[in-house]
Amino acid sequence: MKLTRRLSIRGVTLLLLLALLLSACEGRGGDEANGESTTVAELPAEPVELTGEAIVYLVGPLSGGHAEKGQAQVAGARLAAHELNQRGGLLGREIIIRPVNDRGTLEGTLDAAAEVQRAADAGDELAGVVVFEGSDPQLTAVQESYLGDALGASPLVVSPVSTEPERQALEQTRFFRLSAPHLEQASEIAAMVLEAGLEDAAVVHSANAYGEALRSGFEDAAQAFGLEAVSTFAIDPDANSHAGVVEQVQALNPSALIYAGGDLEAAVFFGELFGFEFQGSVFGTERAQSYAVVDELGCQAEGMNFASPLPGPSTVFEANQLAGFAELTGRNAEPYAVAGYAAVELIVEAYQRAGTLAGEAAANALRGAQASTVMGELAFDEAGNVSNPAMHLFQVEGREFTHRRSRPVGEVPQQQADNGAASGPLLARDFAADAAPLVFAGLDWDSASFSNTVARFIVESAFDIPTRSEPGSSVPLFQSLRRGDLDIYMETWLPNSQELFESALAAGQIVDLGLNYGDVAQGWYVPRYLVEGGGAQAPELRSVEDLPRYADLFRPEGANVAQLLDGSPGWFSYKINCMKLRAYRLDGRFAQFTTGSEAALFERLSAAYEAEEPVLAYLFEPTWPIAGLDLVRLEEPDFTPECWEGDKRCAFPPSQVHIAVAADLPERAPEVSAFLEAFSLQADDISESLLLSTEQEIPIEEAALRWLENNQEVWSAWLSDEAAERVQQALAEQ
Amino acid sequence: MKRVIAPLLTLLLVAGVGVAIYISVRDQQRTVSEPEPPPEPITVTVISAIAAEPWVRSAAEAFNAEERTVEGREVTIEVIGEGGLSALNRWARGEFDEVPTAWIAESRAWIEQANEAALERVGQDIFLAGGRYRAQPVALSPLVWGIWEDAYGTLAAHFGSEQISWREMHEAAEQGSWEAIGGSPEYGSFKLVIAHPRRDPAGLTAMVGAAGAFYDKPGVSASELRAPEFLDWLSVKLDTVVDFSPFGAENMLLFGRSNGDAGQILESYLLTQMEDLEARWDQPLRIVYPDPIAWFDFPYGVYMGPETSAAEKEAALAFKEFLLTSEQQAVALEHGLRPACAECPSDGGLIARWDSVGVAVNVPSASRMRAASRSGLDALTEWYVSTYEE
Repeated sequence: MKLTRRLSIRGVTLLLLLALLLSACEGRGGDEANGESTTVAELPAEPVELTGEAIVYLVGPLSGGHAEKGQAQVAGARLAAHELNQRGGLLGREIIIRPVNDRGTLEGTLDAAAEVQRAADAGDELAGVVVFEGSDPQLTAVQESYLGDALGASPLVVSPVSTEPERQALEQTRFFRLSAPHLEQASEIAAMVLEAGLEDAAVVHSANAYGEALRSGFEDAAQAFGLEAVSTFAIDPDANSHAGVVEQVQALNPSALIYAGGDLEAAVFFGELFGFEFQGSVFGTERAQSYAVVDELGCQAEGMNFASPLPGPSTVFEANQLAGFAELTGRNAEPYAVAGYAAVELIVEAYQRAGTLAGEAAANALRGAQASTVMGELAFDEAGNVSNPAMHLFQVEGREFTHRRSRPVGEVPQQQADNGAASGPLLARDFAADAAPLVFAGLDWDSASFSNTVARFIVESAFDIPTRSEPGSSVPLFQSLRRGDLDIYMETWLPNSQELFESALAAGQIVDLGLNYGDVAQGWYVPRYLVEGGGAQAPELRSVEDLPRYADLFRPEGANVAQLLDGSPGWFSYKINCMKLRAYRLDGRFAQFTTGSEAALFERLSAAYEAEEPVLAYLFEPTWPIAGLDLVRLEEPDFTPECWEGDKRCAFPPSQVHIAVAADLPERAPEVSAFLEAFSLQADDISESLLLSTEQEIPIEEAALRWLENNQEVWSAWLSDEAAERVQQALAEQ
Repeated sequence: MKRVIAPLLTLLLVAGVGVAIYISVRDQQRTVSEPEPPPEPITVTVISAIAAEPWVRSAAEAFNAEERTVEGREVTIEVIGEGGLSALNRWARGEFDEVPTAWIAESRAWIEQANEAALERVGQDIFLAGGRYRAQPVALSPLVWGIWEDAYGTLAAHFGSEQISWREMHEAAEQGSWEAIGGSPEYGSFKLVIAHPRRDPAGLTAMVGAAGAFYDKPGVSASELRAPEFLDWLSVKLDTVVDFSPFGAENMLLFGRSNGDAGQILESYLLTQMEDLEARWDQPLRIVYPDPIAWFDFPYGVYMGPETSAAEKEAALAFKEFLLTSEQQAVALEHGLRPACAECPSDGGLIARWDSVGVAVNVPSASRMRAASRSGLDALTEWYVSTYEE
């Protein structure tokens, strides 16, 4: 009996489990096959429990030059209302969004206010007004219309983009601002510059109140953050040319260019600046974040950075919200949709907390409190400003603004990581007490780490001079070398840095100690298995001209265009690849696929290679994929300076990598200078060592030491016999 | 016995329930898992300015041949050629059986006018100036002076300059005859060709270009366009027009100097006609660029109304991107249009072919006229009607 019962219980359990398992399995399979998700528009439209209305007016530019912002804001508000109505509306009332067009003008603002007034007079249940004031007179009109007693109602008034300092200083009890004051863009851009490892910046600003305020903000932030050199230039917003300032910026050749001004003058200024191939990083304030700039600059706009108080919709909305947005509004979301959404969320939150439809009570409930919105947990001070705003960084990628990251305003910037470069001496030994360390440029790419380690080890062991490495990127470190803050720069890539290099030489700020290694290539590569052998899928693919015939091979399933794997939009080569795609007339069939970094580029390439899939990638020597993977560089027309100055419809120039040192180094350390003059590596050796580092997962520095151990005949030729012996001794002690 | 039967019955009952759940879910999943119909294709209807239509149509064919998709749905582009003023009226009134997805107007001025006209009806702009959906130029073509070679020789000799612009035309018009400026008396009076301002966008655009020359600046306000001193100055030239036909440029090329000695003509039209001209006439038509110079910039605007879905708007953007690819911009050159993309060269196609008659590869952008406001264009139109049609 017990056995029977046990059997029966086990049987029931087993059968139930079996049934549930089968159901679950089929359920999952079905979902995958179906691929559907619930969207907002599919939810019940009018919940029966809502009674009455709570009206929110969206007053903004629905026509004119900023209509895209006003319309996106309304669309965002509609999505918020739609979603919130599913959850009970505003205190049980249906939230109704009423857009009013202020045309972006003072006259329009007054007309809009009159319209709201008429509605209030007619008995509309006015819960909130979302405003979009663009000028001081408009703000005054907003204040007089919605924040006084004129309406006979006391709605909550929210401005998502009120960033003028004087507006933030307003202490109206029912007026809330969602964004940080625009001065914060100055400090946030300065922080971003610092975090990018850039140490010298030129600030170009419009000669108006906005530009002057931000210029002042940059100078303060630069001082606070220790940015070493900041130069400022004013441009006339109404001028047709800014050639004078462009010339000065070119002469300065800063590692970062910070722009604070309107989009129209930005298009003119950058058009002229990029005519000379400015290679530094560019940062702009929100007003310059405009497609007018992108359209004007084309490929040269790739990699430009912009600070904005609003995040990108795809980073804050869920996929089903984005789909719901599209269904509800007939368009896809843009950043101001986030502002409209958050404003409605905030209004509803305030009333919910107050538990009453009285605007004053709702405002009191919000002031000094925190509210959860699509823009995050926003805390409000007593004046109605967000006390914990964030700033968002957008980067131009493929002619679109891509949200890169967000950071809380006021967060202390982190200096760029050292990228593994040692900051102190390599050798654990006591150097002479009076021996000042020689400072190497800790350039942030792998071959430079290799060159540096080889050179530093020899300097320390052969000449008993300590060394250290200063991490950073190429342009700022080169500027440090010019200023005498660095001693040795092992990899000056020519012709990439030709102008910079030659101007420093001409000014007597540096000394050229000759070639480190030369004739290294960069270009577009494919695996050899793709073009050679019995199973080759592209047997006649030899040059970039052949790519159109094989575009389908490199086109992922479901995509319209093929992929060229590339690194970061911040790379100068990224712009060049963009121009090459245009010049070869491939841009309709191929697009750059942004991996974001050298490591990600190599990883994606190697994954495709291992799977023997077709892949096309931008690569450069010396790197481990060149050494470790069997790749073929696609032919291009021969490089000529004329082509390079034009549309770049030719091969990258073969690069020559020079060693540059501070002007006084030959006098201060003649033996080191003589050694560096003799120093010469082979690109293949570097590639092999980088491959070793990758395959054996050892630091590049260790791979460099192994190279020293195995190549005594190479490096000993750079040194006297005694010095070489000391190096050998040090290697033996490792 | 009962003690054995009861658990067994329970077992059977629960097992039955389990199997029933399984069958129910399985059947449900079978229903869901049935092959889904292919995603509905998207058709994008693009109204194109007549001057750009041959190029846009060829691009649409190339686009459609590639079977491109948006959100997994195949996109087909349909192109409808329609002059700007006619299209403008339809946008303004919303008179479409099926609302088009996008509009390539001749110039930004028509887009702005359509917005203003539609504003009262829909309460917001139907085409945007900024953001992802912005109206963006996809090709360019300036309004140039097309001057018969011997007329050009006379003008250049008289004014001592190869640069002939509105001011020189004004002086010649004031003189009244070719003989008065040193030309052959057989050519009679001085005759300009200006397109019909109410039937061809080139007419109003030319008049705005004249205002730029009068005020010597690339942007003019509505009040400047209304100013009597400007209109008096303008009428000196317009008085020389033999016939404000909607086919003014065509007639000039067809009938030669008897119809017009010089005309404000769209460069792309002239370039596509140049070969025929050479065959028909014993002298070429010299192309001269006014300063400042009015342009058609063929803005591609995506209609933002609710009648089209987000996916359709996205597909319209995909076609715009396609038009801006270097390959399609090169095709535009073959149609006499200039590229609008930042990196695309102008020195190809018909631009390169006709440099012998004065075609310039580079036309300074600094001298480009900005679009006039709707009220300014309305004022010009009203003045034209009252002066020349009533």
